[in-house]
Amino acid sequence: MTPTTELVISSHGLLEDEQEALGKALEFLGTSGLNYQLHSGNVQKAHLVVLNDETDSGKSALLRARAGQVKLVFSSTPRSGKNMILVHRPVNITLLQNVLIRVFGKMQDQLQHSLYEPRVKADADPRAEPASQDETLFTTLIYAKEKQKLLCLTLPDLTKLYINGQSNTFISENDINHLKKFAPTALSEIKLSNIDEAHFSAETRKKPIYALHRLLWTSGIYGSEGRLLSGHTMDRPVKLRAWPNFTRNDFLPQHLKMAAIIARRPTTLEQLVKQTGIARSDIINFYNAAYAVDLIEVSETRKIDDNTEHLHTPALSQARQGLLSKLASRLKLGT
Amino acid sequence: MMLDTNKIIFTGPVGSGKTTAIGAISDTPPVGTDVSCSDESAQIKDTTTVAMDYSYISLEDGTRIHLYGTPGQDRFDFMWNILSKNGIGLVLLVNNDHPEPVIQLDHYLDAFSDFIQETGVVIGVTRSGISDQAYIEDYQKRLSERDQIFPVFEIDARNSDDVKILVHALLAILQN
Repeated sequence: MTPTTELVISSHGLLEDEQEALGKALEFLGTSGLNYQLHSGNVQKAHLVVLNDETDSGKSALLRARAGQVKLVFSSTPRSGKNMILVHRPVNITLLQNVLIRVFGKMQDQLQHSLYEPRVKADADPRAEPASQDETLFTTLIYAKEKQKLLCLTLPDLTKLYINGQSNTFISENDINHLKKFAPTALSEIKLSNIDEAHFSAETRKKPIYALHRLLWTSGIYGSEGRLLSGHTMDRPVKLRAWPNFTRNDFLPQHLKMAAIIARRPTTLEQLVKQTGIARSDIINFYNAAYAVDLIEVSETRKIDDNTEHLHTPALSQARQGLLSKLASRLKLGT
Repeated sequence: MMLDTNKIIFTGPVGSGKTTAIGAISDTPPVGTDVSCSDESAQIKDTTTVAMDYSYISLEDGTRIHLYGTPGQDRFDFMWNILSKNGIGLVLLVNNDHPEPVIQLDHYLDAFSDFIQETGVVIGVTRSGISDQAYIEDYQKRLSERDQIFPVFEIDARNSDDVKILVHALLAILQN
């Protein structure tokens, strides 16, 4: 993000009257000295994202927004999320002005400091390099793996995490249950530095080594927050190369259903949403995690046919379906 | 009882943990049964007796899901088709400290190929913590080479959650 004294606001999927209300509210604030720029372009380059989550464009913007961005969500239904402020529809201009005044007041400090600094602070150490485009711990792990980097991360609680993207391992004195809490942490809250092999070896000697895939999987599940990885789409068929090792990794019951479907045949994530009724965010989190650990094969071509009928396997008899459901219910995990 | 359709078959080589896995999720400890050949199994009447494991899970409505463990010794492999006929699906356990565990996987997938085609299979790799004969990726790779993307999980057959996850994966395959 280019350093600027302007507050950059992007709006997405607003209805005409909502766009007008936002314009008037901002105009009012502009007369009070607020310097802002309003656009409807790149979500990720905005300080504040304003959207109507009941429109496709708004939903899409919400998925693309970063965890650290403030989101002003116009919606008729209650919802909550990290850095999310709900404005009930229909939008009242006076209420919107008051909300914006409070939001901008709180963002002033950020505008003066962190937003203008590089998202990842480089060490004084010359080995350090500025941040990549990655936005969270999860995407940083993918970056380290893909680029075969040796990285040292200091998490907000000062936990040290060493990533060896060459041997696909990580080293930490904290276990994965502790680390997974930081999966959605914005990169701006993590101190990240490159580290050479000699320092890496010296600093990690006698510390426990784990497979990076375990952390990648867990971070994908807990850190994706329903946002599809950059460069991926919902409408390209994907297939599982292999099932995740569910007994040794965290999972949700619906992940079994998703895995069963995309292990059988290439399916788009959009088709999965329609066919299974599973929450879009759960599907995306699962996909991101599976992709991160190399379990996903992405089709080269887009599938135009969105007919989900053919995805159904030959129907089991009702009696057999009922029996299997009862057995699943009887074999609850953790009992 | 063997001809009942509400049954899940546990198979795998000797020492792969079939009895333990059945016991981890069943209502009662499995019994090793000596079963005399029945009239329905006339074609194997001369084979005297066959040993296998048996237990069950009771559902809320009283229905029983029967759990059968196949005899591990290959000399009883003629029983496998009879035992699995009309079954719900297959749980294949592979002992990772076998000298050639991936070949064992092939052996059982081939032996049960018709049953797997009609129903489904899940694979549990046991004793992976005490042997590095093969890694989970080796099994995944072999399945991929066979163009069979089946669930394969590391399990401790004593751990009921591990065995339940296997069965849940089997149910997911059958229902989707």
